[in-house]
Parts: sequence; structure tokens; C-alpha cells
Amino acid sequence: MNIQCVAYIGKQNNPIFVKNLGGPENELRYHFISHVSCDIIEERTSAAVKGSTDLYLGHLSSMEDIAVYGCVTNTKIKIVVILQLADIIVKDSDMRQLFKRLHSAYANFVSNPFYLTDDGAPAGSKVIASKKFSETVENIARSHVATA
Amino acid sequence: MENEQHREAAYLKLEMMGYRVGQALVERLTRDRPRFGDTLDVVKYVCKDLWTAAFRKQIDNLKTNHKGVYVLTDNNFRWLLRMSTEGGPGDASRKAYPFLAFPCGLVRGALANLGISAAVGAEVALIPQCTFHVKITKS
Repeated sequence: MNIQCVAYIGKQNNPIFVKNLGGPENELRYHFISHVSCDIIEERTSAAVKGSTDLYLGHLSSMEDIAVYGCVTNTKIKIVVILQLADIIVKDSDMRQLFKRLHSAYANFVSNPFYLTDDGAPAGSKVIASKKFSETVENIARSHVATA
Repeated sequence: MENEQHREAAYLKLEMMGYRVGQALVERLTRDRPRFGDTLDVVKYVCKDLWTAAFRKQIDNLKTNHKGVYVLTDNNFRWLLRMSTEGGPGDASRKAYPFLAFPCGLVRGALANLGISAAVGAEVALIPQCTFHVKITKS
């Protein structure tokens, strides 16, 4: 599975972390796409859509050669993953697994007592600049392989 | 007077610590849980799952006026269970009060991270029973 980008978006739809794994020429594009996905996520999670209480939101959109997947946590953190479409079938169970790991990484990170709150900012509103977190996310993305 | 100020400062500090822990805790605990419906859902979650995770029991009684005020009663709050003083139960209840700063913060932090801003206060009626008052400021 070719993961191009992993983005964490905060409570107020503010980007808190964008990891680009695709090469510098795509940086801006992926930032843009992860912002666009905010709208789609909002739509899917709005109160009008009854019956779905799943955190995993599945496939959000496709653009040219890429596919966007997303999930939202109970704490209103959105995680967006951009995949490069190859001739593989993306299985929901794989994606769920991936999002679970990405969310765990985030939970581990915010459990660090030295992360924020000194300026009174609530969790999920400040940009993450941790090298370790970046490495963790990269490892998860690179090591994630689809089950046959 | 100065003593009173110190006490206040200590209470606030403990409350902030609880707030931080509450935030981090729900981030992890709600990972595999379906999305919440409304405010009552979230408060119920705090009473059941969060309380079990933090204090190994559930809240005994939850009351609400359906206008944003929730009263959580724990008849055997774990942290107060083994407390007693020479001055009798009344004295113990009064002295136990500062120990509730952290749990108050815990509840407030948990609710805040789940999208509900609230003011949380506590009261010790008769040790080890205590009540937490949750007042939703706006949602």
C-alpha cells in the first residue's frame, strides 16, 4: 500500500500535523487535499446523517491518481490518509487497522505531560513539532502492508 | 488569610493536573468506541467507563435537570474509602475535600476533550460519599 501522506486535523479543523511521504513536489497539494477533506468529514459526521456512529469514515474522495481515506476520533481529531492508487484493492479492515495505529500514536504523544497546556491551549489545537512523533507516524505508514 | 490563598492555589494546581490527565485519558480510552450521540451520552460515558478506568467502580447515581446540570454521586468514592480523623466523620469530610480537586479536574478534562466545556465542583457529604456537580457552560 502506497501511503503518500498522513494528516492530523484538530478540533477546530486546524491542521496539527501533516506528514508528507510523497516527495517535496507534492507538499502543497497534500496540504490542500487534507483541508478539502475537512468538509467531507464534516458532512459525514453531521447530526443529519443518522445511524452511523463509526469512527472510521472510509473512502472520502478520489482525485486523479490518489484516494483519500479518513477517520474521526471521539475527541474530534480527524486523521486523513492519502493513498496513491495502484491496481490494488483497498480493504476497509486494513484501513481500520492503520487508523487505529495512527490514533494510538497520537494518544501516546498527547499523554506526554510536557506537551502544551502551559499556554492554556486545549489538546488538539496546537501544531505538533515533535521529531519523535513524526518518526513514529512515518514508521507506521511505511510498515503498513495490506493483508493478502 | 495567606494560608487560605495557598490552599486555593494548591487546589487550582491539582485541578489543572487532573484536567490534563482527563484529556489524555479519554483520548486513549475512547479509541475503540463508537461516536457519541449527545451530551448525556458523554456524561454517561464518564460515569461508567471513565470512572471504572480511574476508580474501578461506576458512579452510583446520576441526576440531571436536562438543562445542563448533572449531579454525579459516588457512595463509596475510592480515594476517601480509608480516610478517617480523630475529629470524627464531620472533621474527616472537611479534611477530605482537597483530595477531590484532582478528580474534579479529571472530569472537566475528559468532558473538555470530548467537546463539552463544563464547570465541575465537588462536595463531601459524609465520608466516603461524595458528589460531583457538573454544569455545562455551553455546548
